[in-house]
Amino acid sequence: MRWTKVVALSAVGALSLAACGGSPADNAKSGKTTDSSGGGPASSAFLPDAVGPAPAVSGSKTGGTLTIAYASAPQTLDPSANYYQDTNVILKLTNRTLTVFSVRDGKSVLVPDLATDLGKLSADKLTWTFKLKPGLKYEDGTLIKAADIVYAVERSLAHEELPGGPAYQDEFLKDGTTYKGPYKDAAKTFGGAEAPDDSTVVFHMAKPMQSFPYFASFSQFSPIPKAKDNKDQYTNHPLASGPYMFKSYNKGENLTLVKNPNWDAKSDPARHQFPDTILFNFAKDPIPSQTAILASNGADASTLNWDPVDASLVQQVMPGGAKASQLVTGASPCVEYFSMDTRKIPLEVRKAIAVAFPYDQIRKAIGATPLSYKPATSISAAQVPGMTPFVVNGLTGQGKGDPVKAKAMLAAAGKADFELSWYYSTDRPSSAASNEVRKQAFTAAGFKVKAIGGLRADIRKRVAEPNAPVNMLQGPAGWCYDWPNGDSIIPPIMGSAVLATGQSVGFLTDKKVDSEIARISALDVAKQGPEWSTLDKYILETLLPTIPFSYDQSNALFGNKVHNVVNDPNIGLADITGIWVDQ
Amino acid sequence: MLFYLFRRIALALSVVTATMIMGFFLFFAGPGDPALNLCGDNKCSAQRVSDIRKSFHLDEPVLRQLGDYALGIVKGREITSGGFTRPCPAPCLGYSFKTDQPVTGILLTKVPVTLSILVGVFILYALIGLPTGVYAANRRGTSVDRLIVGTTQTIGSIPYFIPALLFSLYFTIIHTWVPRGQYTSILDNPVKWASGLLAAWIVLGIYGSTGYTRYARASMVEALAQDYVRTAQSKGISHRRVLFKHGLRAALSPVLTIFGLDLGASFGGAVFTETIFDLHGVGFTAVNALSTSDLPVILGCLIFAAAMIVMMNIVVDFAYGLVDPRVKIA
Repeated sequence: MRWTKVVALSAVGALSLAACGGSPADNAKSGKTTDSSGGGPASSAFLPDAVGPAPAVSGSKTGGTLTIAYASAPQTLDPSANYYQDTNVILKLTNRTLTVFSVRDGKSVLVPDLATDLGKLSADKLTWTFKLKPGLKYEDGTLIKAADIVYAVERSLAHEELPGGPAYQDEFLKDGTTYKGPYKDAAKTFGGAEAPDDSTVVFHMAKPMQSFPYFASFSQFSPIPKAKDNKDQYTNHPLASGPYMFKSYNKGENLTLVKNPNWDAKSDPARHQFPDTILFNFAKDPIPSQTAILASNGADASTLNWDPVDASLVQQVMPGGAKASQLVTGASPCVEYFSMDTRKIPLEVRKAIAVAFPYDQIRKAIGATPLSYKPATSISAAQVPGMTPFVVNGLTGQGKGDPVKAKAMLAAAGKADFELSWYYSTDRPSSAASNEVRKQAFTAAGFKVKAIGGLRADIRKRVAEPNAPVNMLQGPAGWCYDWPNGDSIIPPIMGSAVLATGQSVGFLTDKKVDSEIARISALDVAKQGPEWSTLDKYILETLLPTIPFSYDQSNALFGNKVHNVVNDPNIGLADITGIWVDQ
Repeated sequence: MLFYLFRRIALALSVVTATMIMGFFLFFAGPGDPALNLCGDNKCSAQRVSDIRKSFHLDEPVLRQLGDYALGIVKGREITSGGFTRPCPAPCLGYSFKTDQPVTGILLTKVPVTLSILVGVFILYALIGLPTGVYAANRRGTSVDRLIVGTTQTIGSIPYFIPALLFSLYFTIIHTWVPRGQYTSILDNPVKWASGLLAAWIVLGIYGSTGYTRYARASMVEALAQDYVRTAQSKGISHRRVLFKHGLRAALSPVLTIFGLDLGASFGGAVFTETIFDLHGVGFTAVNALSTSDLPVILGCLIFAAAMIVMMNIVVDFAYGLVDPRVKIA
């Protein structure tokens, strides 16, 4: 997943999202914030036999209005063009897909949604077949057909008309690279998907994609009847198949959802329909919004905010704080890195950089709170199934760094006064502050430092250049996985194939890494997890292209009338589908 | 008089046009890149960025973009973005890069918010600032005068956003003694409209009145020192009549000038108030557009603000003639 998906959620810098452990209903009673550790057991698994209705929520009541207020605003609510997490949360309420994540007991599992199972793979691994549950309807009462899903996938390939969505369908579906969507290529037949009958969808792959069931949970797989496609206006009211439907939408301002009378709870293993109305208020300044929520007066008592908790409010919501029961925290799919160009910095020098790295000082400089991060020790987020916690090369994700030891390491390697160079944004306070800390720490460790400042818009271009005249911090500053499997993490940023795209972390061109990526990607998904974990460890231990910095944590702050707030660690936001409010 | 009016309108149009042109070129001279903003950090390929720029016609020469934009205001135009073509009737201010909404429509929803704030605030300026200033001038040199001047200077010396933030926090959020800021159209619910603006009116109204108090006082003091006022007093005319009929009328002119110019400027500039009290008017929209390099919205707000300033200039000049008989409009 792109780092942009995370950035879009908050206008104030590093995003933090929450995972929850324990019973959400206990949160309000016990006064404890729920928190799960950054690592631990797999937080997503396949649950192919899950059927509706969704598991009951004890104490739940229907009715009332739930308000979600946060700092940014969705760019689009068109399912074909969506690739942002906040929009995922919204569209999960309104648009069902072939599969869907369901949060159960703090874990996020993949369950069948419109489909009867998680898809059947052919022997040659090039065909995925899904059967639809019978009798499912849109908000207007018309039946959902397999052809609507095929059309939706075709529509998601119209990147020029509907930009912004993912490109997995281009890469993995047959004809994906040549078919330009139903507007430009109306006369062409798309070979990547077909509907042999009203209840069967067949996907033909250009190459195997073991994680296809995960991908089928994307909004690009929610059905769109061709007759109802009003192109660039579809974003204003996508036809609902979920428990809620659009009532009104003022782009950039607010969105009101009301109950969809044609949603069948018995067919849906992942969602509930508790509040009568769900109101999204966009572009809200988080500090007054969060202060008001904690005060819980009037409508603020049934409001939720998922921006990072402001530092001024942290003490109130930390465990033991007066308002601790109004916060849920936990894991997010995002990990932050500090990358080193392996083509320009020798391994021994990279190890010295890791030893000197001033984690604590950087966190202090950028105003990170204990709610916003956990120290990272791996490239992959810790909750990915199959991840085994490890620490290699002293990469604990915390500490003040050891400049003396680093200096000795440099001297031993004959690399004293090795020059480190990077870009940073002068008009971004956190970037400037972090830069100063790094300069001091690395200078004390015997490096020469060259930090090149510039305005953010300019720096953005420069850090994406594969051959820039610097040797650190190029490429993405972090990565959020699209689904909880290593094939959504390692290949997009560590393979040599991405070297020229501006997406490479560390510019690795390691043959073993590439061959392992190919080998593991071909395995059954259930077997991939531990293999990716081993490769993750190998990369950091042997190649050290990057210093993992933080596992981002998510926060959900809510008024005292909001209940059953649980975090989805695969989305990094609160799962709205089970929240209920007191009236 | 009519000729004067036409001349002033022509001048006003040239000012607004010059503002538009300057804004256009300043945007492209600056570091913002709408395509990169839409892409987010680092994650778009060069091809993708190029595609976005093309869809917004940002790859065309700047002069051509300016020409299309200017023509659109007069004639309207069709805007092609991606594969879709949309009509944009005159006055076409383009479509927002970020929200894909017509800028004219955006302004039509934002202007009433700003206007609603200003209506209440300027009524308070007139009800508090003017009488207080006149009163202070009438009691010039006394302890009352010193108290008024001292108070207005103290309040005026505190940066506006501090009392605004504190008021918002303690009076509307932590303790809901005053309703939270929110905008409801007066046509939908007049009571909710007024209650949602009350906090902004109180804070900005009181804060801004301090300036008008000082303007009115200074102007009144000068007017009361004129020969004709002394003549009126020596003729035995009552002090009250001298004050209001002779003194105030002359003192009003400079105050009116400031009032009018302030009103015009406020249409584009009530950013703090709109942000702190969550009232998304023109100022708030403009600042947001700047942060995302949303050129059409930036230009739309700029043109609107410039138009309001020049329009209020014209109104003030004409109002001069009504208020001050010594002034003849020609």
